[in-house]
Amino acid sequence: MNTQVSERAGFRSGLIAFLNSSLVAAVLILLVIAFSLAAPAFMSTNNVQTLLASVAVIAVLSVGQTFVIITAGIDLSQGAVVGLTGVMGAGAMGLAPGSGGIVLGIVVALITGTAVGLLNGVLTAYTRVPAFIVTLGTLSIMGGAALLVTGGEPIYMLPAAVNSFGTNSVGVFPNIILVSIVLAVMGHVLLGRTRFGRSVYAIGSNPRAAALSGLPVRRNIVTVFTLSGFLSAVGGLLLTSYVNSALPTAGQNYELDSIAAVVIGGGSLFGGQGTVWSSMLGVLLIGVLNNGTDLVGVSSYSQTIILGCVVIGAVFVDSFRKRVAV
Amino acid sequence: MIGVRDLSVRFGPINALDSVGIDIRPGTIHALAGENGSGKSTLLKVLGGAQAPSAGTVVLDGQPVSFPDPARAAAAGVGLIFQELSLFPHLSGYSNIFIGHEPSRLGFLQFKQLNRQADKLVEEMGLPRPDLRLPVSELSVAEQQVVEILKCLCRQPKIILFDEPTASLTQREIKPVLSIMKRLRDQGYTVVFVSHYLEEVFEVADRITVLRDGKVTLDDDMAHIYREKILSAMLGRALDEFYPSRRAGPLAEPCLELENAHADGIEPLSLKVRKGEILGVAGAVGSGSRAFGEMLGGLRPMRGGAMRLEGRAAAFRNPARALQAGVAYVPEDRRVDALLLDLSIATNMSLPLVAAPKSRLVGAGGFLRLGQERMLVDEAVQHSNVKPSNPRLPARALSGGNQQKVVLGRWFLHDRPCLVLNNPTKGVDVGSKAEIYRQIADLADSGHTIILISNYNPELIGTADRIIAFREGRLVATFEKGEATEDALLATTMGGDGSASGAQEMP
Ligand SMILES: Nc1ncnc2c1ncn2[C@@H]1O[C@H](COP(=O)(O)OP(=O)(O)OP(=O)(O)O)[C@@H](O)[C@H]1O
Ligand SMILES: [Mg+2]
Repeated sequence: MNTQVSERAGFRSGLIAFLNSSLVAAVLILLVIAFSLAAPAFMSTNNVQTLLASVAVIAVLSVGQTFVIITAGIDLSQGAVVGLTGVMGAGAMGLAPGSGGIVLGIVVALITGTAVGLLNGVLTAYTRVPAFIVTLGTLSIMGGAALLVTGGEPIYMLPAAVNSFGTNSVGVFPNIILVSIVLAVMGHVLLGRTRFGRSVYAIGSNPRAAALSGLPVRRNIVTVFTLSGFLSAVGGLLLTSYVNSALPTAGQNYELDSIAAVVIGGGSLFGGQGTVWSSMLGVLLIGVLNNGTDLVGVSSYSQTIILGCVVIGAVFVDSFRKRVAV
Repeated sequence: MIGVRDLSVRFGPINALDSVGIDIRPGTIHALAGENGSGKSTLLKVLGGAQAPSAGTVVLDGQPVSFPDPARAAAAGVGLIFQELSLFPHLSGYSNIFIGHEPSRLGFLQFKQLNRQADKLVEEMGLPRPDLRLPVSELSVAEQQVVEILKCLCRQPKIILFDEPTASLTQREIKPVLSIMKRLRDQGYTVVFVSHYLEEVFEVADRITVLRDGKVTLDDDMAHIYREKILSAMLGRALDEFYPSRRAGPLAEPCLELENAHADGIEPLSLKVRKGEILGVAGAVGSGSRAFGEMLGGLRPMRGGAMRLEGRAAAFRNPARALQAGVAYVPEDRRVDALLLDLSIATNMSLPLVAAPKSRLVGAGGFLRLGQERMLVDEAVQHSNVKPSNPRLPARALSGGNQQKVVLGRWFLHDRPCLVLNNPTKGVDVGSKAEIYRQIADLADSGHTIILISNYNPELIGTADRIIAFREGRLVATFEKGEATEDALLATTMGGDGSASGAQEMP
């Protein structure tokens, strides 16, 4: 093997890397162009704001889901945690007046979500129960808990500041998507540039090799699930502030969208593959599809069919692409 | 007769095979040799329908044929046994043998008939008898190999392709496999096999083809062949030094001291290993040689006794602790235990260093020093002579021997005073073996302690300063430098007479 060949291989893998993330990006751009032609309202400030606000929660969840899926795990409890932390936070906000109540609500929600994530992580890492089952269980448990706490009733009486945060924008960017963007950038850096991020890839790729290289495998798995729980709580708070109420079932099926986003972006359920950036492209793709098909008058029933086809299609196309290794 | 004409296989920029033409005569044993990555497995895969050629044809009995998948090749009488065992660990031996082509009546499997058929094959071939009712994960590697052979045979092939059938076997287990190959030939089968051990080639082959960089560099009857001829065809140069000479001997200070240390599978033993010493560890599968290594590496908890590393008391709860204290364990099965197959060579090589506390690759806040990592990895790839040398390629794209160089290169980056190497040259070609021995000797010369566990006694004799031998969990003999001979080692590890005391010893 002479150096010329390996340089060419380097160039090629660079090219492949570019195509890899930009294939989803290219589809995204095509969709945006198609929808703006089909429905002029698509590019209006108003609609862009709506679109961005509608993906803010999924975006935050997908950051956590990306970490979990790269370790070859899965977090099915995210939607239930969104519902539970939403009602816990909203309930706690009513306990004290003014900004004190808001802070209390945020803290309660974040602690609740983090605790559920910790539970998921500990069960997955230290028992032989697989993540799918553990989080399927906590999905059910936390969904039930949210209904129990509220008696099944929505919570409406929220401090005014909460809703004004949730509905205001900076330019075309709603406040809540700004939170998602900040968290996604932090997640991307954490995954790509830190020892913890590297450990996540190594553990997902081969946990035995990771352990023999001196990585604390179990501790990292716990951290990853805890992170996902924490981010789900952030998602719960964002959703609450956006809709100005907390419904125990508000987050139902959100985990399916976050998993779909990660997978569309190229994450592998077998672990070791994916980036936060490409998951965010997946989130946008889902958002644009839903919003655009809405505008051109496709029924919401058909929308879920389209999304299903996109997920399967994305993984199918992906299986033909050469991957570039981390 | 099977053969290939002008066969080329390209993987991106890599020419795995480059206009190869070979004829394999019926009823012979044909050996394939060559360095790691020279294209041996690729050639077998093309013959067996597991890899499509980029150009050229496969010729069977004078007719050009193409096998789009292994099933089609099997139907034409070509059976391929892969380099990596490809059994289903949870299924029984019987189920594995018949998987995919179970004889059935009205869709119901005919279990009795199946099992009789397999038993008949075992008898006819005079194969050693593994318990085919057990899940294959409970069989030893050698027994799994027999299951693979049965699986291939019951598809009634005329031509059998073996990719490194002996690579993971101990010397005692190799003999039966070689005699199976001879018996197959004598019954009229055509056998093609890949091996990195020239002794085996000389023992059984009728003809040999040597590949280098995807081209045929030697193709001749064994009658005209001698060792140096094969080596120079493989390497493109003469091999001046196989086992390295040492620049320094072991130092006086001890690195590792054991006192009545024991663990599951090893009886209490006391031992001192000095700095700069290469300690060879011999023993059959299940003899305790591997368990000994795992105990040192923190994979197998010590049940009693004391261990000291560089004078400090040590008892490792897990590999991370062992690494911190200074012992690195390099496992035998690189694909299962050591490599991150889908991640890059760079990530693979730097992993232990990245994982280490106070690592020089990790800055404040856990941030990686990516520039420095790139520099160090480039250096390590050069030093370990990994080919292809592009550190961004996934480890999966490397040939077996080069994967092993990546695994060993880790400990060039993350320097640990004591290395436990479990069969580090398994599946590695002659030239790379020499390189690995050189690296081991250099490490020892610079004061490292090396525990070299090996199934291959000649390499222990060639490289170790001292050899200990295990049998049935006990340390049964110690040979100082120059004392050990192959016969003595074989006799000690097998229990006296060196014959078939076999099967009971396995766990
Ligand atoms: N799936 C693949 N993708 C990319 N490159 C590959 C792939 N499989 C093999 N190669 C490359 O093709 C070349 C030949 O590989 P092959 O596995 O045939 O070597 P080999 O002679 O069997 O080596 P070894 O002795 O290590 O088993 C190597 O350079 C290898 O890196
Ligand atoms: Mg091979």
